[in-house]
Order: sequence, then C-alpha cells, then structure tokens
Amino acid sequence: MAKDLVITNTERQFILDLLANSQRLDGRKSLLQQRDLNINITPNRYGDIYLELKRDDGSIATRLHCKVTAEIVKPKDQRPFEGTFYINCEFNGLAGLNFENYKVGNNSDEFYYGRLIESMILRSNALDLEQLCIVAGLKVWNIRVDVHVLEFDGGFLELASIGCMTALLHYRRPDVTVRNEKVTIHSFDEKEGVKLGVLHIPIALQFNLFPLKEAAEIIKTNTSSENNNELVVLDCTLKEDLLKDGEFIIALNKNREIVQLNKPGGIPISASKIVEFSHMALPIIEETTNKILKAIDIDEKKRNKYAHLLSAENDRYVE
Amino acid sequence: MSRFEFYNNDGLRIDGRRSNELKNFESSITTTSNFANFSRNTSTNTTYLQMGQNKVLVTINGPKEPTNRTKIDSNKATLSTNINISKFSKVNRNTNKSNLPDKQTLEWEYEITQLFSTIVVLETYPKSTISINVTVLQQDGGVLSAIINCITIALINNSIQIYDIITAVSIGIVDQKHFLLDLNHLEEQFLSSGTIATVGGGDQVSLLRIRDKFPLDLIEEFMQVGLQGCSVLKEIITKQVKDMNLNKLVEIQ
Repeated sequence: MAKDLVITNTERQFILDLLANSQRLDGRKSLLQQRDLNINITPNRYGDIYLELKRDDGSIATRLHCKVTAEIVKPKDQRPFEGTFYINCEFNGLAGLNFENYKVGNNSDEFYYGRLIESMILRSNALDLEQLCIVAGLKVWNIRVDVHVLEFDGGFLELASIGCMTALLHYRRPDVTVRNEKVTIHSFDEKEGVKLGVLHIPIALQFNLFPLKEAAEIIKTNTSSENNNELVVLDCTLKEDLLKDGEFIIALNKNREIVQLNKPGGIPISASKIVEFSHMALPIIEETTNKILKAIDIDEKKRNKYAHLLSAENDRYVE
Repeated sequence: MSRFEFYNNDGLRIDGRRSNELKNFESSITTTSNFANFSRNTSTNTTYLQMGQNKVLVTINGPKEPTNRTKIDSNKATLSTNINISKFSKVNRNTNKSNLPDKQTLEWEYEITQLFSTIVVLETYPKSTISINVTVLQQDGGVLSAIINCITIALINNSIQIYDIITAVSIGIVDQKHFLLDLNHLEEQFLSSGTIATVGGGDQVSLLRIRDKFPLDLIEEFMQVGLQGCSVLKEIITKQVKDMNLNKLVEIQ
C-alpha cells in the first residue's frame, strides 16, 4: 500500500525470523492474536464512527473514520426500485508520511479492498436497497460511506468492514413523506430519523501468509499437505503487511454464511487449510459482531436518556 | 428460487451434462491456419481457447525490455495483465459507452497478476516485462476460469518458464446439496458460485473466489468438487498441449 516505504534486507530477515518463532514486532505473543479494537461513536450525530486499533502498550496503531451520508438522486435505469450505495475509501497524506495525496491506480491493493467491502455489502444484500426507494424511477436515496484512514499500521480491511457496518447500523436518514408526488423531507427536529435496513452483518477477516520455504519448493511438494509450508498471521502491522506473500480473505456473518471468500494469487495453500481457517474465523467474527452491537446499544441508551419521560405511551400488560 | 430446474431427478443439468461433467475444452496454439508461417516468440503467437461457449484469445508479449524505465526490477521480471472483454461477448450487448474496463475486469486483472507472479519463474527474466493480453470474444459462465486456463496454455506455448500448470474451474451449488462443475451462463446467473484454481492438479489452492452467499458448512465439499475438476482439467490440458506441439513439429519438418 505504501509505495515509498522500503524495508531493508536485515529488517526483513529480522521480522521473518521473529514470525517463525511466533513473536511479533509490536510485542504480541502469538501470530493469531489481534490488537484491541475500540469503537467510538460520535455523540449527537448519526453514522459517524471512529475506530481504533490499540497496541499492547496503549498507543494507537490504526485509526479510521467512517461517515455515512445520504442524498436523493435519480435511480439507475436498470433498477428503478432500488437505492444506490457507494463506498469511498482512500488513503491520503493523513495516514502517514509515506502515503501520497494523489489517487493511486486501479491495480492497487486499496482499490481491491475497497471493491471487496463494497461487494461484500451489496452482493449479500446486507443493506436493503429497496427500502431506499422514495418514488420509483425518479427519486431514491444514495447512501455513501466515506472511509478515511487517519493513522495506519496495518489492519485496514478488517477495520474498514467493521467501520462500514457499524456506521450503516447506526445511521438514520431523514424521514420522507410523499403526497401527490410531492416529496417532503423532514428534518430530525420534526420527525425521528429512519434506520437503514441492515439485514445481516458481514465482517471481513484477513489471513496473511508468510512462506517458510521458497515458492518453487512449495509448488513442487504438491501432495504433502501435512507439511507446514507457511505461517498464518492475523492482523498484520504495516511492515509485516509489506513482507507478506499471499493472503486469504474471508467475510462471514453470524449465521454461518460465507459472504466473500477470496484468495487472490500468492503462494498456494492446501485446501484442507482453507477449510480450517474458514471455521477458525467464525468465533472471531462472532465476537466482533457482538462488540459492534454492544457499542451501538450503549450509544442508543445514552441518546434516549429521557425517552421514558417523554413517551406518551401507556404501560401495557402483556398476557 | 428461480423458475429453472438446474439439477433434475435424473441427475442432468439444463444443458444435459452430469453434475461433475466439464464443458468441452479445445485449445489451439495459433489462430492462423498456416503453420509454415509459424515462428516462435513473436506477438502473432496467439493462443485460442474454447471452453464450452467461452471463447478466449491470449497473446503474450515478452519477455521484453520495459518501455517505462521505472518499472525495471533488476532481480526479476514484472508481470502485467490486460483483459479486454468485448462488448458483443454476452447475449445482450454491453451498452456502456466508455471504453474503460469495468470494475470486475480490473479485479480480475489484479487477481490474475497476483496468481501468475508466483507461478512464472520470474527470476529467469531479470530487467524485463511480460505482458499478458486477454481478449474475451464470447462468454458463457465461468469466464475467469477460462481466462486462467488459456493463459496457462499460452505461457507454455510461448516457452515461458512456469513451475507448474494452473487449472481453474467454476463451481455452483443447487438447493444447498448438489454441486455443479463448470457452470454455463444461466447457472452462473442464478446460483451461488465460485472459482477455484489449483497448482498442478494437486490439492494446493492458489486462487479462490466466492462472491455470493454460501453456507460455511459446505465449504469442504465445495473444495473437493473443485479439486477434482481441476485435476481432470490438468490431464486434458497436458494432453492437448502435447498434441499441439507434436502437430507443430510435424508441420515444421
């Protein structure tokens, strides 16, 4: 991702040796240990999320900002009943000195990851686009998620997918009434906003592969699946990320459904390992999903502190 | 579910194949019929692959000196892929006005470049580039797998060193229990499907791509079906490449 960052041969060897002894440069004890995730929801705003990955010593490794905005647009000709959805993720100078400000080419990792998150949400119907229709063929909502990287030390894909889903779950669009084909948009003072239809929560997880042998050797020893040809590392730092030699991305939801499963090239791994990783990912993703739901729940309670006082609803007895 | 019966009780699919039957697979080294004009290492050396109704042309340019000086890597060659999907390749003509490739094609380019960077012995060609140009003339489901297979054959025919043959195949799932190998366009449109590519027909998976919702518990079977298909395909490719080269020898002599 970072173009100018060059790792010297000695440092490269050092990091790889550490990994071979299952140690990490930032002090983590195991290859599968992830850094602490913090979800901060900005008060008084909808769909404005800050995510942090914290190192063991408490300093912030990666910081991400996700913001949802909605506007009314004309729908696409082929799909007059559906709203539109767009994710804009960008690395720019904010993320660190080694990131450039201009737009990078289409063949880059970040283009690929951005596309992956977009299709993760769109193709699995995680966001119900039909709810976003106001007047068929004329007016629909366009939901746009902006992902900004404020500080970067690896873990972009996971954070971006968590951030997008949290922001979409939290966001409320203004309510709209249609009368005689006249559309009125109500501000939040007039009417409570409407939540987006999020049907399930897919979260991406990236397994990074580091070869223990030369690539040629791995390819030649074709059937030895019990041999350990590679190391699998979760939640890479930036330096590890630049040294990796292949990756395996899986997006799952809590209902045991694979939403995306991607292994774009890199060193080959045996099929049984892929199955193993996919099952390994499930508890991690369940944990993350619970974290997201909890963060949103806490925020909801803070927001509606006086809800029970203002409500005109009578107590009801349920038999 | 859709109105089609993708896998009936007799075990037949829409196009009359069995569940684990591949489409017919035919490749040829060069598109010109005149073998006497055949010369190696020219860019006229085009490989053509017909996998069912998928028609793919691959030209490999290089190894040659890179036009852009900054792209030189003194240790190994750099690989670049360019995929051109022609507008008439589908049933409905692509009405997109711009000539720029769409996002899916760009994703494929990225994946194919990553895939072949580990398979081609790049260290043999330092300070040079190898560019792979793909033209898709007609698509009928599983285009990505056809492209990957065609590039493998093209690399062999262009005498570029590779570690092993890569074969790719697409797989779909019907009613959460039947797995279909090598999909046609109807199946690809309505079923959850994925593409798998393995090295040398073994169990080493080198590319995997599932973009639809897919039950986690069925992934093991999915892989088994895929690996089987790939190993069958490897035999076919090996045989065809050998036959083609024998023909070539005969023609030259």
